[in-house]
Amino acid sequence: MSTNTKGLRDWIIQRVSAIYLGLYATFLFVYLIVHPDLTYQVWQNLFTLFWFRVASILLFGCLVLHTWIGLWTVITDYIKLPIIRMIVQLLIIFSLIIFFIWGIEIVWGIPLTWI
Amino acid sequence: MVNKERPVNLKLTSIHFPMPAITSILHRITGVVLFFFIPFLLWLTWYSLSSEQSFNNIKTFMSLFSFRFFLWVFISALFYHIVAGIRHLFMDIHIGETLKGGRYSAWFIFILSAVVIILLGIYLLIGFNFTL
Ligand code: HEM
Repeated sequence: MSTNTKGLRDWIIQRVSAIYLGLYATFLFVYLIVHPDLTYQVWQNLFTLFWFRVASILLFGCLVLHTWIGLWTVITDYIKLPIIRMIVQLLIIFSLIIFFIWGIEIVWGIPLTWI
Repeated sequence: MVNKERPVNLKLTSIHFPMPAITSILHRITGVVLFFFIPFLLWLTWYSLSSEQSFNNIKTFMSLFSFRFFLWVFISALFYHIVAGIRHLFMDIHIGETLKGGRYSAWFIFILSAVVIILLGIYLLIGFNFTL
């Protein structure tokens, strides 16, 4: 993609990922409301379900993209010194990659069921 | 040389911050705050799933004021960010994009989140009754 459509692409990715993050958060909120006496077995069972694991891994992806584009905008607005901006950007990318791998590790460690 | 006649504006009450400017900067601040909460969320998910013992430990953490305070800050930031985010998305598709509409919706989300955050604070920080 050429540089002048990169902004539009980022803009779309940030919105689509925002909607997904919002839907996932709403789902978890409703889930916790309808399970006021949640037990470990019930909670863990949710994460054994294939569709929920797919949804969770998608969430980690959306979280990384949304946060990266968002923080990039903030940093570009406030940090004017290129070297500092580069360092901060690298720190953010580094942490987001770690968060992503960590998230996948969490769902990966749990046995899988299909229904 | 400093021009002594230059207009100086340090009368704080005369500097106006319209509500849409305030809600916008709060959306930005909460976005940055949420970034710092990601490790906490991952840890909480991991810990709650790692064993029955640790799952039950989280219930005991709820007896700690500091833990509930932390949770309150996180949920408040997330709630505000989502509500302001939804307003943003509406304006992106040209709903409520006028100056007047923008002001009304800014006041609306500000008051709505203030009420929810305060009520949640009362529940989590003062009213929360911990029993195992
Ligand atoms: C932990 C999760 C989240 C993090 C860390 C996060 C972080 C951020 C950051 C840093 C920004 C940039 C703010 C700016 O440019 O002023 C942003 C923007 C945005 N966020 Fe989030 N966000 C999260 C979740 C959500 C959710 C669930 C929604 C759902 C409505 C959302 C909607 C938006 C929208 C629409 C924007 C664009 C605002 C703009 O272009 O100025 N975010 N987010």
